[in-house]
Amino acid sequence: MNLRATPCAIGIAALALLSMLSACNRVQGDSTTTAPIRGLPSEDMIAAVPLGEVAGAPDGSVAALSIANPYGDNPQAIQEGKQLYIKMNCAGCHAYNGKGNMGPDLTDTYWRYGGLPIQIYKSIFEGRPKGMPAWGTALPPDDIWKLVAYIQSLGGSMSVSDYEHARQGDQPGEQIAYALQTEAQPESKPSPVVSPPVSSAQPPAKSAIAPAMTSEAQRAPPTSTKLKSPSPTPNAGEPHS
Amino acid sequence: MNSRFVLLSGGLMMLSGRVLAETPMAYLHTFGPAVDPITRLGWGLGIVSILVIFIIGVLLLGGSLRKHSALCSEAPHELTVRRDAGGMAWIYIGVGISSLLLITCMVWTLIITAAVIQPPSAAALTVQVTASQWWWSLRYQSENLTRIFTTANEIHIPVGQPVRIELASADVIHSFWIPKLAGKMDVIPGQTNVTWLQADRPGTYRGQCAMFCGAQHARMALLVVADTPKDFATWQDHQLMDTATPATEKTHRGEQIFRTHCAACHAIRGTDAGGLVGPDLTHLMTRRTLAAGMLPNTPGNLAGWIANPQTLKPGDSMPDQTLSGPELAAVTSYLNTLH
Amino acid sequence: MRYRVFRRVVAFAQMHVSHRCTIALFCLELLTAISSSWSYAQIPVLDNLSSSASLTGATFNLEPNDPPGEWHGQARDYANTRYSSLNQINAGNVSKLRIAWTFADGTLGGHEVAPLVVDNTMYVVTPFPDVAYALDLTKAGEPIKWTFKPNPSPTAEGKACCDTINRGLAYIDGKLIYNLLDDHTIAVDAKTGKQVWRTKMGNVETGETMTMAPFVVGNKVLVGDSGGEMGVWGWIAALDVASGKELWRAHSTGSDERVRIGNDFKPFYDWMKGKDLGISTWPAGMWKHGGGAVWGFVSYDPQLNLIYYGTSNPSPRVPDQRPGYNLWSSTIFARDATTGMARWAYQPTPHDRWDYDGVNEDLLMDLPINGQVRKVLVHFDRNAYAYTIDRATGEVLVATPFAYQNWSSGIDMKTGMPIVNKDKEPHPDIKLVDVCPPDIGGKDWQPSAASPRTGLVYAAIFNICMDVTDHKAGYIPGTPYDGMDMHRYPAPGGNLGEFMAWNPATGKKMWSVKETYMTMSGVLATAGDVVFYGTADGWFRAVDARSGKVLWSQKLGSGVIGQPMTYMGPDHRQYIAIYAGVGGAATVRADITALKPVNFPAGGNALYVFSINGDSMSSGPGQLTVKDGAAATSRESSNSTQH
Repeated sequence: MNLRATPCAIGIAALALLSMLSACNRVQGDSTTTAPIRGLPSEDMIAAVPLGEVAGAPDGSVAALSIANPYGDNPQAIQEGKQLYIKMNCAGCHAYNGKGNMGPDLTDTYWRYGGLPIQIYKSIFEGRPKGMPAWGTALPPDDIWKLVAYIQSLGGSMSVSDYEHARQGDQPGEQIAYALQTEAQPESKPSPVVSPPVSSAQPPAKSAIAPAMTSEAQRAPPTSTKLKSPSPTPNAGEPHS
Repeated sequence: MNSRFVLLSGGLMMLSGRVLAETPMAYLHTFGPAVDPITRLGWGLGIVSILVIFIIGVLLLGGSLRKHSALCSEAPHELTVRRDAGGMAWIYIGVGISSLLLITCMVWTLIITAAVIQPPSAAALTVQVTASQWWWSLRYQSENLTRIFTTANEIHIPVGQPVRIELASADVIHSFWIPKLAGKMDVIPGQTNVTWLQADRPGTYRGQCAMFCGAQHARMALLVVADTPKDFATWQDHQLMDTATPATEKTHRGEQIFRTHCAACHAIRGTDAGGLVGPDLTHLMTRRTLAAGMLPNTPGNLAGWIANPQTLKPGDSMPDQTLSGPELAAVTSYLNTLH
Repeated sequence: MRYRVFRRVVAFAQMHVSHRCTIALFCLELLTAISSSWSYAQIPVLDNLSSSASLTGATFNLEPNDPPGEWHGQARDYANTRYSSLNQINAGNVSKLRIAWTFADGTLGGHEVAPLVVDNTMYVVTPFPDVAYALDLTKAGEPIKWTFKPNPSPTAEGKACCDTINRGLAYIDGKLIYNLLDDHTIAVDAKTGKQVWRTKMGNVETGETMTMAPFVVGNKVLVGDSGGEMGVWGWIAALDVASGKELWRAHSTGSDERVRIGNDFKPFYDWMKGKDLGISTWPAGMWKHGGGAVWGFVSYDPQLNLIYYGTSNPSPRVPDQRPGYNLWSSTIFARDATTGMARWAYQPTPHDRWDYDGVNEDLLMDLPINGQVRKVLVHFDRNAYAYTIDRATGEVLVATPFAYQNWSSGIDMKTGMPIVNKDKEPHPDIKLVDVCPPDIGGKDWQPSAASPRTGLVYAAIFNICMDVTDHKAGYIPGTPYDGMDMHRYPAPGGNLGEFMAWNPATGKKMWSVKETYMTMSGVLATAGDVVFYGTADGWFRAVDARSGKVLWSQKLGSGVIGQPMTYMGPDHRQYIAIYAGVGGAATVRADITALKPVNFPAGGNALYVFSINGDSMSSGPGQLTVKDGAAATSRESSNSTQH
């Protein structure tokens, strides 16, 4: 009988069991704290996101807009967000499938107050006129981010560059008739354009920068409304995910 | 042999009568007809087992110390033990006694466990218990609809009357266990399990969630308080009363803070706070503990819990509150009025 | 004039002349009647042909007997008949109905109102922001006389469950009274368009709104709230017409004192007898957010001095959270019109589990049933049963389904209770399929009409079912106190809508017109034996009131959920007016892909006014502007004779 080995064996077995249990990721319940991946954005960062466009630089980009949802697409966070969506009566106004009823549709890409994660966060946190309550005091920030994660999973949110283009009404795949010019730059420099994604819906062999006057006629039909893939660089045709 | 000493001394301590106060989770001494028969059965089987061990131990000892006659025969072709040595009697008697004992014990067990499934008389009270992570929601049922109300974490029952417990889960599997009053009954999402309990003596009995249900499973306790029927009726009437409106400016401010910060999750009957996510806080000050049996219900503990639940119970659904000092004081003073 | 003299002759002859002669005279009378209707004669009185051709013998008290060419309130009269005695437009010529003029009010959203016409001025109110317009009918082009912009709170937009609609105005004593979505009742001077008084009735931030059309009885105006999905404490209130001061308010849950139940209260059925049932039929405290909003139409019996109305569903819409009968939600009340004290009550759906509000209109009539004339009200409930109830006592005389339903197997006429099918009772987190009718019922708020000539009641109804899952709901003020997750689809038959004629004495459908899309419009009945209704995909139809044959249809710019009305213009032409602007619950999105196919119309806000051949002062050759005071005449024709 190897008496000295017994407590050791018990200890190892216990450790193994505990480590197995902590790996449990039951979707409905919390076996561990759902910790955000990068930590929550600070209040100052969130306050730096304006509601309208910036005076004096309407086509400029605001760095704070690119604050990502710290939960990303963590499935547990999305599930918890869905639970909150029902328990906080969001489903009563925005419908159980998010398509809207008393409140607007959360699954489409039209957002009155912006559809970026940080903007959705702010709309929930601050409330909005026409009946959207302010949840900032009732819910802690990470619960609101989980709600945002759930809403993002419904397909209505978008990337920052898609948003900035959408603010000007641009859609992926469309032609831009004229290049945006600045005084310091000669006319030959190519300007940022909305590059067409490579998809079967596109007519083949189309030049990205079309000559003036014909852009209207050649505007490609709107593709999928799920603007998930960012297209930040010119002529970089990225496939839709 | 060591184990037997421990058992005996432990048993003596159990019987000393200081059970309730010093060992709230001990189940060897119980106080209600839902579990008393099982406790007796347990003791009985335990004693039988000890006897059996003792007898076998004696026989084994005797057998190993017995003086042998020289068994090694010079004749190698002869058997060491002859077939007609007469030892079969031991086997027949031994098997016979053991079988009798085992069958008796089995029958006894079956009878007892069947007997405790149903209460002896119709339940005087029904309480719907909904287990969440990591607290217990209680809904007292009644024929009189206006006496149906919700509370949390502390079940009051009248002494001497069976109480029916209907168990439902809001999320994962839990288990309802009041060691001195009821055996374990799992709480399974999607179905309603029914158990019952009865206390024969007034007192406070502690319970515990008995099925691992997440990070704070260990801190998911509950209390069963058995009152005399008269006291129970008083308690129930009191619970049904609406809470008084706050009288001072501080408590009024506290109520406002409660409504903006807490009411989305917590309900206080008689006010506009109607959240169902967390425990019902109507008459919070009549409860002995906070946070599902984790902390004694004192103003200091209450303030500490509200300010920093994640330190006390990490992973709990209640978030840390970003309240300033005066705000925390106001809301605590408001909650302290919820008698 | 000619016609009246001729009638007297006929009557005299019938008394004294032989049988064959009578028939000849009868035929002559008929011919004269037809020919005189072609000339724009003065409004004829009800001829006694009507009662003999009535299928039920129902008679109606048409008080307050407003001038036949005008329309002073949404339901036209106290009995809520929505019946006009004008018969210039009739079954013979309605197929010649054409658009005479239109008016767009500039506001999108569901248009549920009927315009009012008083003293040659037409009054309309738009959906939120509840702008009121007065149109001058004496001038070509019906120019806007005045516009009144009340500027209601934008918060109200996000608290209205079923579109930001308004169900109409009431006219009394030179004032137009209507409700704003943000819980104000206002009175506007009909001549000048200036506000006379404005009374705040509730707090919109708690989720309470007001959508119903006020109802005037004597010197009081009755108004109620909306918000059965928001956990409100429902009520009906009486305001003084002159000052807007609140005279009394009767809640729909709570103590007898709050519900204005006193010693005169005598419900017919036992389960409504008892003290403080508005508290004791709920778990502790839940009556405070118990719903019972009053957002439907009110009717009034001047002889009994009783008003009749219904209350909405109980809150939350998860029945397991609130065991008990949940009085007085989903209840029809009869109250003393002066004091507001309840006389009787009847609850068509005790412990409502499916959002079957009791708010649908109560049409009053004296009806022969089994040989005895009874004073009754006829009520098409959301639960798909049509009730004929003794309006003096609350006894249910007839209760039969008018639409497809499977939630109950009948009404026990002894106790007045429905017999509920247990497998159609929803429980939290369990999906229940094939529950009929859905939350919007066999018929929703869209009001029915009755014709004294045919003795029938006409209604636009639904043929819809739902799958429903309940989720337990917590009460957070300003957010829905709801919990119903639904998916609606057509019931057996595949059609979503139906327009029917109903015999309230026998409880049977006489005929019906099936419609592919929802029929959610009000109904208009006229003495021309024509009834009008509209569909959610934009058709407005005229139907023969006796045979059910569709005589005329016109496609309008948007779906029709409004209430049609008729009036006599200053040019002595009869006009039919209806709004086309789809919305309301017809587009409430509870995952209703089946109810909103690709070709469903977009919203609209145009009022369409029809006349025979489209003749009016505002259509025809030449420039049709007129000097003040002079009525324009349209093209020269042999038809235009004036008296």
